[in-house]
Amino acid sequence: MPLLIKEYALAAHPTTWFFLWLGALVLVPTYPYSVIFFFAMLAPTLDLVYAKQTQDILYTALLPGGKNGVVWGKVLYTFTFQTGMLLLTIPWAYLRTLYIQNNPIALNTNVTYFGFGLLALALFDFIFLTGFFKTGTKIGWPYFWGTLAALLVLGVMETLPHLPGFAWVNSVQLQDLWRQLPFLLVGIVVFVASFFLTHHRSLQRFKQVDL
Amino acid sequence: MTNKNLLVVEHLTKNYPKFHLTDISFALAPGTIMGLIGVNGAGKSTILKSIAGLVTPDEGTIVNAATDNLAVMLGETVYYPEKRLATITAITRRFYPTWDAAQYRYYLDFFKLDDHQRVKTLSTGMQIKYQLAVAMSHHAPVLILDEPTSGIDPVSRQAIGQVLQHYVADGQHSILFSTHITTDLAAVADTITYIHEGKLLYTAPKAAFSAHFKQQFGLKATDPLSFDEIMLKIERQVLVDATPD
Repeated sequence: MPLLIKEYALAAHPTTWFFLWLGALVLVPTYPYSVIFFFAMLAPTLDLVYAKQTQDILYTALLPGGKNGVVWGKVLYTFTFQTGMLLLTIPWAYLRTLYIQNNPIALNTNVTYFGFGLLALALFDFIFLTGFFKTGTKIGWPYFWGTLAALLVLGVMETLPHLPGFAWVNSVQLQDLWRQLPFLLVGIVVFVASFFLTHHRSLQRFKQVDL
Repeated sequence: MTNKNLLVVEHLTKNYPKFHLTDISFALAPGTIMGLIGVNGAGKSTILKSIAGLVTPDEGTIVNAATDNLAVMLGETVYYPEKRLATITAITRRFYPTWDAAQYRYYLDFFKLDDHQRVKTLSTGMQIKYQLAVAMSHHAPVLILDEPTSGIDPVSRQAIGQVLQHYVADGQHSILFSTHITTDLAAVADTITYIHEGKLLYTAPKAAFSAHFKQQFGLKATDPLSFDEIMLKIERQVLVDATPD
């Protein structure tokens, strides 16, 4: 717990608190809501850039948890931030579904949306964080590859409703939301699995890094 | 590790493409201050970082009396410049069950530090003093300091020397510090370890260290020989040896 407090109180980039609320963008009537997931990827990236500037990684590595503590703190921060951001998006998505309904230019904020979003974040986090902890310094390429993987997943999400017989994927009607539930379940399972895999792989890699 | 030593380094070896730290062994007795001396790039920081767990050695062992309570200060590294000292302290103290708030307050007063200031508003000397105050406030048996007095004025150096001696006075704590400021060695170190091109050249209590090099340089026991002169003679001798005929 002290590590998580340290991440938010000392290490987190000040814009973290702004990004946390960007789920409210689902209230914009016409907007590609996939962008919100890219904000959820950008915030931890800025956090690592900021950590380099403030020597946070060195500071944390010198605390009792050592280099393991650095990995645990960053992984915990990334996943809790994204979970918090998505949880805060749910009320706005509900309001939108009640009063605005369909988004004419992209997928609606329904169960499919959250399922695919979790899947995209899970992939991004694994690629980005394990890539970063390979060196402890390089952020650009891990961010590029992580974002590319997420882009593919979210591209599939946006394409799916346009395929014959898949219109229900974009629906916000109650009966269709139940049909979309498997997307969410898969998203949650992969997101949770990614948390443990990301931590495990990052730890293995960061052990080899000399600071 | 013997029962009395707080830190034992044995056969520490680390290979980089262009630098090799080779077979470093020494022990730190309680109540003592060891100065690690050598020119820039000799390997002092690699040794300290290996002890701190920042660098993984290729060979050798490091045994610390309290692995979960090691205090490390890397001189001239500025952490969280935008944060207030009080914020950093409030977070840091959570990691140490042995945190001593009274001790911390004592050091703040001694160094005339105001912990409501932001790190970026402090001078280099004040930043180092703050880091020392934190490092010495959780009763770590071993304090590791990398160039703690580099870039600060003589008055501050003397103040730092005083607190370091106070820290080990109870016989329960020890300090290992690296420096290339030889006057600091004369002022505070009990034992001196000379690192030269990644190898341990000599380690001994201060008086024995001087006596050893007087003998090496063909001087009488009563001849004066400063640590500066020892360093210059060692390093210049190497330069002379390396000069082609």
